[in-house]
Amino acid sequence: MDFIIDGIIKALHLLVSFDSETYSAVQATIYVSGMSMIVSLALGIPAGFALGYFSFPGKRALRLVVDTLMALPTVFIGLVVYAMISSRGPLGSLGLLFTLPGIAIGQAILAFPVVAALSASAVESMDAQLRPTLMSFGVSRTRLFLTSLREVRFGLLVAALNAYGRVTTEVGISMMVGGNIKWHTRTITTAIALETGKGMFDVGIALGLILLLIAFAVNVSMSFLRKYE
Amino acid sequence: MTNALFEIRNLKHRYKDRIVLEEESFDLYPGTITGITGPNGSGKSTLINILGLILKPTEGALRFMGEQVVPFSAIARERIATLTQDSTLLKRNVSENVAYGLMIRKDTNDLEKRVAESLESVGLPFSSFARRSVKALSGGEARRVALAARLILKPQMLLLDEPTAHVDEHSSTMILRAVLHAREQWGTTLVISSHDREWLESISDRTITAFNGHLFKEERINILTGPFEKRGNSWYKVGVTSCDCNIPVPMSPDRNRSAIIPASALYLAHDSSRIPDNAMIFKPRIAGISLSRNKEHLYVSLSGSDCCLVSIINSSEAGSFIPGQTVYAYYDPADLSFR
Repeated sequence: MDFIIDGIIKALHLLVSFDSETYSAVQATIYVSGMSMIVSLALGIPAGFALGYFSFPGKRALRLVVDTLMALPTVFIGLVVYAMISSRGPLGSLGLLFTLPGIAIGQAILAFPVVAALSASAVESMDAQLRPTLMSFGVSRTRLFLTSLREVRFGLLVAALNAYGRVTTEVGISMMVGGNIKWHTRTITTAIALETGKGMFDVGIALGLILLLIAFAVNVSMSFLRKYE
Repeated sequence: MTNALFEIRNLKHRYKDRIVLEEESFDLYPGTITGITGPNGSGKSTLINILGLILKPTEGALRFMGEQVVPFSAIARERIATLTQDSTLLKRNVSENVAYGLMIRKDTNDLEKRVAESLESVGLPFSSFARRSVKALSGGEARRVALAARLILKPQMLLLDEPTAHVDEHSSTMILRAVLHAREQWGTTLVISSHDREWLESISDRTITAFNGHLFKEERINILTGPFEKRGNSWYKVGVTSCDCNIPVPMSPDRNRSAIIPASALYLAHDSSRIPDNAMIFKPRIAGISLSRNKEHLYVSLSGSDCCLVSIINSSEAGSFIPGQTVYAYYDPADLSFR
C-alpha cells in the first residue's frame, strides 16, 4: 500500500515541477489527438450528415457497418496501419512508421466511425419539419446543410467529445504504430504502460492523473452541453 | 397570356404509385385571398407545398409571374414565403428566428427595427420577446413568431397551411390581422388552407375544395363519401344511423369512391310536380340558411343520410324555405361525378 501512496506523492511532485519527460508525453498526446480529431471531424461530420439525412439503397446496411466500426479494437487498427506504413507496405515510402503523424492516422481511423455514427444519430433526431421550414425561406442547398448542422450542433459536439475521449485513452495504436519512443512518440497511455511495467509507479500515476483530468474535462463538457441544449 | 401571379398547368403529383394531387389548370391572381378547404389527406398541404416551391411536382408546369419555376428559380423562391403546417423554429432566440430569412438574403439594413416591426405586427412586443428562447414560447406565440419570420420578408405571395390550427383564439385573431395587413400594405397574395370552411369563406375572395387529390373550384360542393348500397334497382348513399333520407345516386362504379355534386346543381322544390323525370330525388330537412359572402345568394344546409349537404338558392327565394321544413332535393345525374 505504501508504494501507491509514495507513487501519488512523487506524481504530484513531477506535475508541479513540470518534469520534461512527463510533459513530453502529454505534448505528444495533445498533438496526435488534435491531428486525428481534425481529420475525423472533417470527414466524419459530412459522412454522418449524409448517412442520417438522406435515404438511399443500402443505408441500413451501411449504418450497421459504421456502428460496428465504433467498436474496432485499437490493436487491430494498429496492425492494419502498421502493415500499410511499414517499409514493406504500400505507404512505406512516406516514412510514417514510428512518427506522430503515423499515430494520428491510426487514431483518425479509430475516431471516424464514432464521429460519423453519432453525427448520423444527431441528424436523424433532427426535427422532421426543419427541411420544409428552411425550404420555405428559399434557402440554397449549402445553406440548408449549414443551418441543419447548426441545429444539431450539440449532438455534433457530443460526437466529437466521445471521439476525443476514445483517442486520448487508446494504447494499441500508439504502441504499435508509434513504437513508444522516448521524447518522440511516447504518449500518456504508452508511457503509463511502460513505466508501470518497470515498476515506476510515480510517473505512471502522474500521467494517469492527467488522463483522468482529460476524461473529467470531457465529461463535464458533455454534461454542460446537455444542460444548455 | 394571363395576368395571373401563379399558374399551374397539367399538374400531377405522385407519392410512390399513388396520385395525391391532380389539377389541369389553376391560377392565383395578385392581391387575392384564396382559401383551400377539404378533409385530411385531400391534397391541401401538397398543393401548398408545391405552390411554396418546397415540393417539386412529379409532372406539370408552374409559372410565377409568367416565368417557369421548375426547377425552382431563386427569384421565385425569394418572393414566395410559406408557413407550413408544423413550421418549426430554429434553436435560437426569437429575434434571430425572425431575422433568419433576411440574414440568408444578406439584407441586414435596419435589421433590429425590421424585426421589431414584424414582431409587433403579430402582437408580440419586441422588448419582451426578442431575446426570449423559443423553448419559452407557448404554441400560439411560436406560431406568431414563425409568421413574423415570413412577414419580415414582405413576400409577394404568402401561403399559410392551417395557420390557426391548435392555437388560442387571441393568437388566431393576431395571425389573421397580420396577414390581412400584409395584403393591404404590400398587396401580398394569400393562399390559406383550413378545415374551417366558415372562417375561410369569411376572409377569402374564393374558396376551393380539395378532395381525394382533386381541386373543386365551384363555390360549394357536396361530397358523398362511399360506400354506396344497392337497394332494389337503385344505388344509395345510406346513412349509418336510422334515417329515411337515403340519397340516390345513378350508379356506383366502385363502392368505395365518393360522389361529388356541386351545390349549385342541387335544387330544392316544395312539390315533385316540377321536377324533371330523369332527376335523382330525395327528401331532406332544411337545417339552416345563411347568406353568401357576396350577399347574392343563400346557402341552404340540408341534413340527410348522415351528411350535411348544401344547396344554393337566390336571395329572392329566401322566404319560401324555412329551417326545419322537409323539402324535395334533386339533381341531374349528369352533374354528379365520382372521385
